Amino acid sequence: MFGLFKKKGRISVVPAPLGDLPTFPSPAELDELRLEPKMPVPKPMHLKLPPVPHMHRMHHQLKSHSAKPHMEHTIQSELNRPVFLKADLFQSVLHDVQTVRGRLDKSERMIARLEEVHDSQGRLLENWHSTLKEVHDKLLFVDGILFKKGDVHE
Amino acid sequence: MSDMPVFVRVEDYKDALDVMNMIRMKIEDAKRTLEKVRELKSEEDTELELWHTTIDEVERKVDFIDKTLSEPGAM
Repeated sequence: MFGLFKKKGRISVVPAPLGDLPTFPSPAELDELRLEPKMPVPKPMHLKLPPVPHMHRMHHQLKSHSAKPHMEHTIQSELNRPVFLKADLFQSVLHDVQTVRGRLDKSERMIARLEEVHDSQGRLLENWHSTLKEVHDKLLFVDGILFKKGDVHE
Repeated sequence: MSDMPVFVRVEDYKDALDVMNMIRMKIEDAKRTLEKVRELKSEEDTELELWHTTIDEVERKVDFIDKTLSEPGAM
């Protein structure tokens, strides 16, 4: 009918030859490959590294660790560093400074008052000195009157 | 974040330390001056007390003289 059941061309089951393929190494050749690696062996490097500046400085610092100039230099560098205060402590310091300023103003007023008292005291002493001199003169006058016996009897 | 401490940078820290040392020296000077004033005041009080005693004595003598002069017959 439609040729469905016609005999088809025969297909060979055996594949075609693949040509020249490399052969597997023999077990002896495999052992030889394992024992002799073909990786290149690095040669030992004899390079001279450049000196590290920090290491040199640290070594110098360690050698002169107990030296006094180094300590002074360290203190100087500590002083040159920026200094920070906690904000609340800074506010407290400002408050104390204001208090001290008030006490200084009060002290100035007290000193001015003491100077006034001292000046007043000086004036009073001057008055007293003149009064005392006047009394002394009057006493001399009375003494002259009382003890001039000749005048009294005459 | 609100609990983090806040810091204030202090400029011229060394000057502040010098000023604090100067203030401390001034306070020591003020203490010495106050002590000297106290000593002078003590001497002044002593002199005033002596003056008061002297005036009392002079007053007694003047009273005696006045009494003597007022009452000649009592001599």
